[in-house]
Amino acid sequence: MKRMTDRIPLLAWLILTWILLWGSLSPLVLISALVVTPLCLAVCRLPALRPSSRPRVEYIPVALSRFLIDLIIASAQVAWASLRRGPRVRSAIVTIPVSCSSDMALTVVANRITLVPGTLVVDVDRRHQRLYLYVFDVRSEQDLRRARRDARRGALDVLRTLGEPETSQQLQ
Amino acid sequence: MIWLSRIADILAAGALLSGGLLALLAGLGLLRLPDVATRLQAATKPQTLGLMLICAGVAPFYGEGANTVVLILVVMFQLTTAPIVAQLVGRSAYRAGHVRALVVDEYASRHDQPDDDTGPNTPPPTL
Repeated sequence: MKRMTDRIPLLAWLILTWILLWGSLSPLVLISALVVTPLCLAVCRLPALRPSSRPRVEYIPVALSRFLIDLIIASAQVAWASLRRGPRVRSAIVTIPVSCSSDMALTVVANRITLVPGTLVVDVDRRHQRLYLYVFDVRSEQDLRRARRDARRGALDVLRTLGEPETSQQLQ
Repeated sequence: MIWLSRIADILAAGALLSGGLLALLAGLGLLRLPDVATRLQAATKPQTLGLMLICAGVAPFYGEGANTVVLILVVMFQLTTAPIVAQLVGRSAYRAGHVRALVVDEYASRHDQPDDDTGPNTPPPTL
């Protein structure tokens, strides 16, 4: 029974998506939603989403706007670098410390960093609490420092919004 | 009220054009960049913003209500799926040796130590 209640948020989200995809609230859509969505859950046995901590809604505007700003600036930078330097573009893989115990929070952190152009999370090292960060277009130590700092800041935004406990979270 | 809709037109045109420009630049990046990982950056990342801009530009002319919500769904699916693809392709390319243009590689030294999460000694993930 516990497993069923864990799945209710996911089920509700799937039903909502189904209705939005059809764009109508006709009885046929509603009935088919009740057939299709439990079927989806049964076929793909996903782990239930149980956030370990309480999300801090008041941080969402800051985190979201900083994400959008990062997205716009970095998109322009990647486009410019590939135009300007093209074949001479060099990259790097470095580590950044991220301390967080929840799998869900770590997933959101990695996605947040990967979504911003120019950076990519190559791998996660749970034991040493760090992420391997791929950085696009590195010409100097300063480029690396900046990429590290931006990724760290993005990760902190996510952890703060999800209400994850912050340990050793100082910026470099 | 005509000037208001004209401003909306101009904003929408600007969003569509810059979204299209980002797609064009992504294509040029594919041609010019040296290896899989850099091309991945050019091809997938600015596209996210490009798609958001195009959806924003289309929204005012796409009918009302439910249709606009579908555009939001499109952006949301893009935001949730793009990083997963990028991570998978990026790591496979690295392991296959197709990530060459690196100046610093702190990931290489890690391969010696089998401390991967997927190792047999790690406890099952807690979710």
